[in-house]
Amino acid sequence: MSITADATTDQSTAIRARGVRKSFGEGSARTEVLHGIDLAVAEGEFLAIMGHSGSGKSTLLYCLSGMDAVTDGTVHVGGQEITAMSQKDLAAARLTTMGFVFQQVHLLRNLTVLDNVVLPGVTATPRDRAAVVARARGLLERVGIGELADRDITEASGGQLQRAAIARALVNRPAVVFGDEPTGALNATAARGILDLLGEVNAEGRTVVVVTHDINVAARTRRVVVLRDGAVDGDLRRGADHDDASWLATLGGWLTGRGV
Amino acid sequence: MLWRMLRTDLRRTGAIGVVLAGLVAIAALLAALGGTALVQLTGSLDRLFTTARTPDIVQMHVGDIDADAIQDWSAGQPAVQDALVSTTVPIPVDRLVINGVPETGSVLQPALTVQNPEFDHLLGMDGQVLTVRSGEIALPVYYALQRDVEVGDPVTVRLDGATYDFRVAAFLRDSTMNPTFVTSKRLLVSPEDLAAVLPHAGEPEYLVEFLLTDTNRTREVAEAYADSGLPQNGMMIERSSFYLFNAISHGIVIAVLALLAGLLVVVAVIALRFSFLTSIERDLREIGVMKAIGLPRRTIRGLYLVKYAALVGVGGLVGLLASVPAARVLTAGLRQQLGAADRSVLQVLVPVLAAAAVVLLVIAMVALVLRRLDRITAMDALRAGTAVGPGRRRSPRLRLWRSTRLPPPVWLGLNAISRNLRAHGMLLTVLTLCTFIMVVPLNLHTTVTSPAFITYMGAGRSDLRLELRDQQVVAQAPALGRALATDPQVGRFTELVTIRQEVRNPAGEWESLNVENGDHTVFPVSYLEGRAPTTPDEMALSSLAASGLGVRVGDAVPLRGATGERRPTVSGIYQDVTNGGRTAKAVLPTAGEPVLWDTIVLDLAAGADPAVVGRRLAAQWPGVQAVDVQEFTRQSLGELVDQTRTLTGVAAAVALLLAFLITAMFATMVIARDTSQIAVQRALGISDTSLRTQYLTRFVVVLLAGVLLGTVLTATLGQYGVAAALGASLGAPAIRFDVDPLLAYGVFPLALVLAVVLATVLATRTFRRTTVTQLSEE
Repeated sequence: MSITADATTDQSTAIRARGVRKSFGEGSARTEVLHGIDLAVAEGEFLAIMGHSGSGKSTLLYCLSGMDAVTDGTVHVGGQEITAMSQKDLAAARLTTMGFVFQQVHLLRNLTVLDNVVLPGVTATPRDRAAVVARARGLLERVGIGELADRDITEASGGQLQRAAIARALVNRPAVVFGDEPTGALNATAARGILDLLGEVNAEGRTVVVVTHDINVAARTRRVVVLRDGAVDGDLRRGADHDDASWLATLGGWLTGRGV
Repeated sequence: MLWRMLRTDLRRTGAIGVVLAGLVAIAALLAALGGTALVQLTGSLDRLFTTARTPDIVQMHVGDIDADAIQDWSAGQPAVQDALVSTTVPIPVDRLVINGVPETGSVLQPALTVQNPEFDHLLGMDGQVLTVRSGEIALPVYYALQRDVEVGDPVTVRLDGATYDFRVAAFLRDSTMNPTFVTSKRLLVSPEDLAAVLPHAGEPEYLVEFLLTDTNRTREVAEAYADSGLPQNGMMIERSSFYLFNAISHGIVIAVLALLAGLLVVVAVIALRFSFLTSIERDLREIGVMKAIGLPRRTIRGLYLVKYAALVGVGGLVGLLASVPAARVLTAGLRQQLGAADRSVLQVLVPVLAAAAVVLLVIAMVALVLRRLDRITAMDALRAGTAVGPGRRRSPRLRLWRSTRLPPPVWLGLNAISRNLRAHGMLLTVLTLCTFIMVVPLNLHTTVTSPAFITYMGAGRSDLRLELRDQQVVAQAPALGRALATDPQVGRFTELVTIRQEVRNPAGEWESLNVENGDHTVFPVSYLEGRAPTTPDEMALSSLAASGLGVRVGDAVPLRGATGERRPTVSGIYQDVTNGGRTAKAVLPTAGEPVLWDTIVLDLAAGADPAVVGRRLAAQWPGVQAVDVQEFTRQSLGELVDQTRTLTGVAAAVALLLAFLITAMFATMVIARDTSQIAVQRALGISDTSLRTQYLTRFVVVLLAGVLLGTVLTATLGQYGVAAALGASLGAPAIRFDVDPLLAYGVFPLALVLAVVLATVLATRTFRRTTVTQLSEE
């Protein structure tokens, strides 16, 4: 059964995907990974995309963020159709309207922690460097690693680096923040810290979309979409009456029912 | 398994492997070319000298001569195998008309002569002894190569009272006077025609020639003749000098080819080392596995050695094969001028050995570098991050947040350099060498074509030179001087009279020396030490003459002439590449001394055209050869100029190709290593243009540093090393580069920049393939 995860109005939609298909390979080796996904994410929503390995969840995330081209279908982010943009415009859109947090952090090894945060900022607004630097410092303080600003990235722990990555994702004040298994490489304590931060980011009004296989991560969100074999298999929202424990329990049963 | 790994690795090496093989190919090509040219040059010279039966000693003489007395003397010399006296009839250039155009303005000193039956033969272009019939003339090959004269063209000799018409029947190779900077040229006519010309021509010049039984006794025979009192009013030249004169300009090319090949071997080794270290970094885990399962070090080393040996071997073979057609082009001028060499196995063996030497040298260097593999333990390799690869990461020194003006991509490029100085050092070294390779031949070319080069030819810088060679013409010198003093187109001038003297060398033997007398302060030459002579008790010597005599400034030199002996003090030492480099300048009284020639050196009034004034003076004073100084150096050094021009082109092409290949290789490897970093930046929204700017900044900044270092290297090593080595053999050990700043500091470096930019742009085309999906695989 195909489920359309689309229950929002266009006015308040941060992300809208229509009929998104993604294939890899050519000819007889061609494999379709996403089969015509329709998905709408409201502004300020905190969404988790879950599914088994190979379900296409990361691929969907990359298509929604414009980092991978779709084979068919359209994706709108902030009212702009990113699937119709040139590479140059898409890069500009990712720089200014989106932030991304990777599982492996992926900070640039030749830069200090602060410079990693500053880079997207000065790239987007080169004439406003002082303000960017000030904002970057503030973000590092906010994520709790202000003292590591001038350090080489090899001098920080995994959790600290992921915090820096979140600061980097926020430096241009994006409307949408994407995360691909943002806590996947962290221990439990560090992971909790990251999830707290993402929660704060969402509380500020930014749309946050994360891919995860971890129910504890999903439980921090307010909506969970499950993919199976490249199609939406389920869409569950946290109700107003759900507290943390009941949401976790409901989510757990629901996911079990879908074999996740 | 190992062969599968090798095949996979070779496939993976792809473009990098092509570049590495290409470097070795170019090095092997240049080495093989140098070897071929050397074999061709020595072979051609040997064949020319053998067929021509080049004399071992030639004594020039102007004046009365008793050929019988010379023959009698020769008969009494056991070292003399044969002797002859050859008559040459000098023709003033304005009286020689080729294709209807008088040779006025030519710096050559043509003379008619006949074929010598015994030895010192003039050869045709087929390498055989040449004969011409009455009405025919054979011109030196110079006229065919430098002047576009053809067989069948008309030649007229206009003398007082008679005109003689000839047709060019052939071109000849003269083993004693072939090179362009030897201005004396012999033109071959039939004995009947020479006999007809002789009564109407000026004073003949004689060549007293000797062929020896043992060339080791050349000096002995030369001294014996000098002491004999027999005719010797002129220069004496030995066979070794003829050989050197013929070999010089081509020898320069060979020397530079060898140098270029050597430099390219260095570059190839540097590039291979870098490629190998990058490979190790990439293959660290595989190496760790191989070591962990107990594969012998020899086997692991062998895998890499075979891979690189294969690349190097292919490159060497390609270079050797490419040298075959290239050698034909390179040696075409040499073969035309000197004739082809006899076929010999050396013509195949030497280039093969040269290319093989390049290949073996490079492989040996790689084998040395491969010993690094022994230092990696299995555990080191299996743990990621062992810093074996090129360049260790340092703590960042630069700070993006502090940079207020630099665009972020430029800053990132500079930061990348600062974070990996060692890797960029490889590129810097190569680009420095590229600059050196490009600019040294260029500077040499601009130096030999500079108007100031005349000062390395033992003459001062002036507008015009009037050469009076015939004795009857020399007698007009005083009248000519009075006329010049009132000529409104003539500025300052001075007369320099060259006489033949003898000087005693350290062994106590008297040897011939041409001494130029007059006021040497008017048009001074460049002195290595000291100054011009100003009194009859002083004398300046050329650099080669001074070193040959073992004297320095301040030493007294025993000198004797027709009017007696004296001991002038050496006042200065100057540079002179003409006349074998052994000349002198003095202020001696010339009355009673044998005058070889008279030269009036002059500057013109502002706005006067040297060519026009020269033609006028030559017309007004028949027999006087008026030479525009720039034209003089151009004609004298024609061959050298052509060779340095060719070298400049070849070197520039090699340097540009090298810069392009190395940058492309380096950029490809660096970008491959930076794949994840590039993907992250693209994911963040940094554009491909911005990414490309980062890499362009890196490589262009390294190039500019390389150009700067290369320029310094050119001005030091190039200037004093290369130029001095050439200058010392020519007689000007302190040649200074006369740099054309527009070319040396502008056009050529800009060409390098374009090569580097093009290579970087091509290498960065792979950005589009670098996507964030690669990040999720890591």
